[in-house]
Amino acid sequence: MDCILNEQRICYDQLSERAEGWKSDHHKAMACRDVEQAVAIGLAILKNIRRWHETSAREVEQGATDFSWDSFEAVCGAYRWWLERSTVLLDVIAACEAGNFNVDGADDFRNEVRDISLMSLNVGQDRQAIASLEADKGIPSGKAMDEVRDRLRRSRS
Amino acid sequence: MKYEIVYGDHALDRLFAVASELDAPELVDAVEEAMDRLADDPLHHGKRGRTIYQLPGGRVVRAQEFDFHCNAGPGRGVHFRAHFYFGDDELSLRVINLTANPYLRL
Repeated sequence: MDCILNEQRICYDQLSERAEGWKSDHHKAMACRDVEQAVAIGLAILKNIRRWHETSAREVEQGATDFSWDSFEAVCGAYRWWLERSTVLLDVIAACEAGNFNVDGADDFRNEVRDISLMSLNVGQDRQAIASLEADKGIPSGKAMDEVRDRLRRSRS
Repeated sequence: MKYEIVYGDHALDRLFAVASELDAPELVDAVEEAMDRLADDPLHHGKRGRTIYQLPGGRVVRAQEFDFHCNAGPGRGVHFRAHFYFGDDELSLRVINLTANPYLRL
């Protein structure tokens, strides 16, 4: 899986690095066809990252593998990399659409970017949150929300 | 049965950042209301996530996800996702993180 992902990563890196050029050339239909190709590759890579994530999670649940924060970080790193590259492509898709070129797969791609952007990909922070929760140092809802309100008031004054 | 919601360290940092950035303090009330709905019926509102965590005591849990969105002023909204797991007391929802993604309404 790592080997396939690495090859796909190199390809996606190259495609998204060319994205700025496409943006300036977005009036050319050919550039938008290249964007479609990048979108298709991006979606395929995401499918692979998810499969890897699901397989490793299932193995931990079934006791076939021990949980490791390092492995979790590797999966999150792959999502973060995908999100960074894909966010660049979103701008190019918008430029194509602004030039009245439809990009196949654009809606699916946008939905996936939104979905991944809502994942919790900060492993250190998750670990810290879990440690506090399991040490009974979690903050009850009402108090936690009041703390946010106080912080907002202080930051605005 | 209503569950108790408990937040871990820094779980609401993103809410603070987005409410501050959009100058929309009302987001806090909206999120509190949405999380209250989750507390009323987490099995209905939550969904099984992909991520597995091992807790310090050794228990392995699969994170649950709760997606919702809130208005943040004219033409703006924010997608949120709470990542949580059930406490071993079966009475609490332990929130690891609340992620947020602001968007413009077309």
